[in-house]
Amino acid sequence: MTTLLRPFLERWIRERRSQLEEYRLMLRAFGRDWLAVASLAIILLFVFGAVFAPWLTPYPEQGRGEPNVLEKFLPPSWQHPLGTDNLGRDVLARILFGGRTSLSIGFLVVIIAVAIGTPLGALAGYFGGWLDEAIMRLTDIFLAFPSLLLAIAIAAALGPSFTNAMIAVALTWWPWYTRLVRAQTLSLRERSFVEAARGIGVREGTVILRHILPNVMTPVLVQATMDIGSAILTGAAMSFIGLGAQPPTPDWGEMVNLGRIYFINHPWLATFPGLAIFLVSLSFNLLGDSIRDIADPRTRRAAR
Amino acid sequence: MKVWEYILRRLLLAVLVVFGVSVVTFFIARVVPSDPAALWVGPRPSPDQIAAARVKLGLDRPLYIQYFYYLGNLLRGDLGVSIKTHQPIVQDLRAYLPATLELVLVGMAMAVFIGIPLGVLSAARRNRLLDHFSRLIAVAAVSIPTFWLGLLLQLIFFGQLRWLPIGGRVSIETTLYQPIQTVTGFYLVDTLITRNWPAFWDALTHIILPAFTLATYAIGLTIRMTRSTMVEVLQEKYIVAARAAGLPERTILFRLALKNALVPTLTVLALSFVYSLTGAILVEVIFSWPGLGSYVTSAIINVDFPVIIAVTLIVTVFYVLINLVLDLVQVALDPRVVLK
Amino acid sequence: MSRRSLSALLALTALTLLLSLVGCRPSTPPPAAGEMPAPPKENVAVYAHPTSFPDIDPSISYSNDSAVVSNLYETLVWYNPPMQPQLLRPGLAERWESNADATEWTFYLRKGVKFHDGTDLNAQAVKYSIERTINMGMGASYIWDPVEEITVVDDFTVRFQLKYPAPLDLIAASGYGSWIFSPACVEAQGEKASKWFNEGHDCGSGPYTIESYERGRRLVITRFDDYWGGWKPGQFNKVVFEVVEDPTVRQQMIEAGTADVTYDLPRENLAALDARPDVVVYTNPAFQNLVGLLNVRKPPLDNKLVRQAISYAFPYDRFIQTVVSGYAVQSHGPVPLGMWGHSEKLFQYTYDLDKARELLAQAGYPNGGFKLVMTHVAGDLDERQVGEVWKAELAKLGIDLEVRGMSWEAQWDLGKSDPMQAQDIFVMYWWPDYVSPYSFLYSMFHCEEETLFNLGYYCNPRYDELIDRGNELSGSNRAEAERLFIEAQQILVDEAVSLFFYDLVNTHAVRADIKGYVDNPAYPHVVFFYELSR
Repeated sequence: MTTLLRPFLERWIRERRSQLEEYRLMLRAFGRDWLAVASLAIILLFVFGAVFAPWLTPYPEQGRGEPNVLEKFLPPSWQHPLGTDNLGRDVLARILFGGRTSLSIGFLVVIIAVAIGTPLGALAGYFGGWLDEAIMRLTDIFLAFPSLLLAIAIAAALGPSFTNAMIAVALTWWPWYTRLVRAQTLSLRERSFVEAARGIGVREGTVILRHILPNVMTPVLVQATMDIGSAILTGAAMSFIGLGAQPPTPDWGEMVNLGRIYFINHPWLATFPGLAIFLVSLSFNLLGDSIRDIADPRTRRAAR
Repeated sequence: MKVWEYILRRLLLAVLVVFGVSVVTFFIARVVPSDPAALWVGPRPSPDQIAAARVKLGLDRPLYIQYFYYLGNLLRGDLGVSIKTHQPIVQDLRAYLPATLELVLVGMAMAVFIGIPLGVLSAARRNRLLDHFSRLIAVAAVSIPTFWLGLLLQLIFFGQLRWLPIGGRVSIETTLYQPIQTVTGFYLVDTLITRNWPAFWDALTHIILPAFTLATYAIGLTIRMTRSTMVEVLQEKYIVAARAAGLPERTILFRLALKNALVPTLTVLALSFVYSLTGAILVEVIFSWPGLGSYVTSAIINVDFPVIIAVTLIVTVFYVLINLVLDLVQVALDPRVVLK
Repeated sequence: MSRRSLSALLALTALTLLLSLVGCRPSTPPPAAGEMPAPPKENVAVYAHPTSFPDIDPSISYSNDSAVVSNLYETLVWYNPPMQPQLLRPGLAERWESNADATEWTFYLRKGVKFHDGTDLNAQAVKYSIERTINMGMGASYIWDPVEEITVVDDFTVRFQLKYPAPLDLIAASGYGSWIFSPACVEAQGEKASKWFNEGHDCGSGPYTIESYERGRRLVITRFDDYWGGWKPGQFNKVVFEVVEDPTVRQQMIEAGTADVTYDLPRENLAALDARPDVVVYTNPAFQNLVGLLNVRKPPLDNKLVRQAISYAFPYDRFIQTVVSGYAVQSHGPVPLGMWGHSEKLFQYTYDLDKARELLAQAGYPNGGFKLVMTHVAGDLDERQVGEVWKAELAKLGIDLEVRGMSWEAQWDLGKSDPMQAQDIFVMYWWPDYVSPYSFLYSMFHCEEETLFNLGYYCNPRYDELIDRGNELSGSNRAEAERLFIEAQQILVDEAVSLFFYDLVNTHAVRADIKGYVDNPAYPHVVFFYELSR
């Protein structure tokens, strides 16, 4: 197996050597960036908490939504480090389980947006002409939409649910990627290797797949990392106004919304989930900043 | 000639975008599972009442006809009637829009007066404590959930300290004893014009918390943008020359450098102005601010789509106009843009 | 950024946390001296109201706007608060009578009543008002459906000829669609009257008239000096209706004394609020209940045994004691506590999972194994909690309950669709348009050709006969009508066509120095400020 793969691997490594070298440098710079590492650690901590939630709390069934009405509104204590909510559920357990919805909405929104935006941008940039014009005018319209309002309108139309909130936010997000990819594609199209590929008669589709897309992925990934934080914020805002995940499924934005009613007498209900949103979105923003600096060879060397 | 072509093209584009948005929202509105005719009548409509309302509201006509009527009215400046309150939306907007604009403008002013100085100083003291501090503020400001920040501020400044009111635009005492005469709809301006000092102070204390909550995002962006452009500008030769000539640091920073760093910052500010118009939705709900956000939130709860469409259109028009102005300013500054 | 900024970040986070926790102490310190409002220059009451007022045209108002409208206008007859010997008392009519079968009603009007525009109340004004409401066809106008013709007998006598027997006294006492106003005042505005009303004007005869109105925010009414009831010292000269959507803010306002009356506060906080020397919390039955209409057309709830089983699976007592902190009463059938037609003798389902299992086994579902969809209004916390608690209980029976929060519009739209595709359980509140059991029994359970509010799709001719007869008699023989209504309710309970979760309790927080406060559930959350003083 290895012998079969070997020549292929070697060729691949040879072709990509400069790029791998690039990644190695980026990784090293990343390791030296304290804040980036800390941010990543916080993110991983929350992801870990969400994935292994059932094993991390003594109250997994409460995390999933089962009421325990006899113990409602207990203040933070050793049994319930973050207190209990209006139906007596452990707030820490709710936050751990809530991470599943709140984090995944951030990731999924960006993934969907990239999935819609990237091909459209590549097509627009590569072919130009009326296709470019049509796609760009479409992005104009979607960008002109007040995004939260559009998301609200879509969620209202489809009915409030986790999936619909995600679709709604993603629909307001993709045009940014289309623009980014289009700009990158425009400059790539003029580059010699693309011209060469076209010159020897490689099919258009292949050129886009083999030569354009791989080269636009780095800026897209950098942008995506920077966007996850805002996507989580927007998702939380949607749940805050009741258009996100539906109870009893836990969700941070929804928990803040609920906690708002009891804010005077039982403030832990709103404080801790809000803090979770803040920490995660802060970490993603810091991580995104660092990755952007690292990905750009100029700032990578200048800054550190 | 080229420049005029460009401007004409941008104008046409703006119209196209507004038209596109109106089509999309109108059709979303009609897909929503709800019965506007029933909502129009009241909470307990009888079948006869619903049937009558359907005819009255023109809901019995085909969808595209309804849209053409809607468009026709729109062109005459008529945004329709709220299904829930039966009042002309234009009239409601006249009351709610100034409240939101006032909030957003005060927020923008905060972004300018907090964000720009912090950004400038941050760039001037690169990698020093102040720089770290203001960059931290910047990233925290764009990461914090506004709705949560609003709650914390209420808790601290009203709940604990009693320094600022918890919500609303003016206190009841003002309405009763120093009523504000509406001239512009901006209370801060109206009270100044009429020299109603107690009311001015009252309005000012009411606007601080919501405006600050709304402005956090813009403050963060402004710090970042000012800092990064200032860092570049400060490396320019003329700044180095000015330093060598021994000009005071303050003059160098705020007179020479900032002037050249200002354009991108103002662009960011202009765009976050539009962002704030929708961001106001959350802030207004938390602070009981009687503006566009509260208006559209209750419309969303009631599926009052004429209102939702109208507010969406208004915000879109702001977005398009500001973009248009930004583009035109850019042309004015550098006509080569057109040739792009 | 570097180590230093990380530590700054940590410090800031810690600070935020600290500040919020410090701010979290349940006690709220008394307001600092400088923050207290200036001593009122005149006697003003402030009502912190949780919703805005959609439409204050007296012919249209059919919602929370009633809180305002009831202080501006008057009805011919008033419905008394519970526990009074008489159901009704005179309003603008001093007395009234009907013929034997309740198809002709005559009202004798009070003399010397002035409208706010200075014109006098007369029979013509009554005829005009009711006819305007009927002709506009909005809001609650349908309650006047029985009326064939309104005749002005003389200046102070007005006669209603009905198409069929109806309790016109109860209808005339409705808080929606029964207001009397000045014809001259309305006519002066012509076509635009409705718009004019909503700009902050009125044409009533009530004790107060509108002074200023900021839509969606604040409405100020001021006393009408020529009110026929006269004025005594201590009564309020002005009343401010302050729209405050956030319950936290309303609670802070009533504690700080910047509001005098409010409602819809977190129930958990009510006991502590009531314990304060400066606030009184009044609790009264509300003519309103929470029901879960069961889809009797669609399996498995078309089976009576399954309906009974799930009726036994809701922990009524525990829910009422803990989740709503005791501020509710388990229902006896669909007519709520305090209303005529309510009977304590009706059977109540209790929380009994063994019984439920037994019934499920009889029905052929020994281990459950089916799924039910419950819809409710997404923003309503109590409905949502009912769903969350019930879901956990039904899970023990092997039944999977999907709790689906929707906008009311969408929930209702789904409910009106084909019953076979619609929800299994429709959770909603019901309150009467005018105070009659028929409102509950007809709207939610009478056969309907096209679904309107019978969202469990129940249809039983014998039941319909009972309540229709009861309705005919409710104008002439109320005791017999009540008997028929109770008999009909027994059918609903036996057939378990709906869950009757609980009857609501109104709680109003009122400042302790306000005298004369009485809650009248016939006019929900209306505060008759004329009756109050300080």
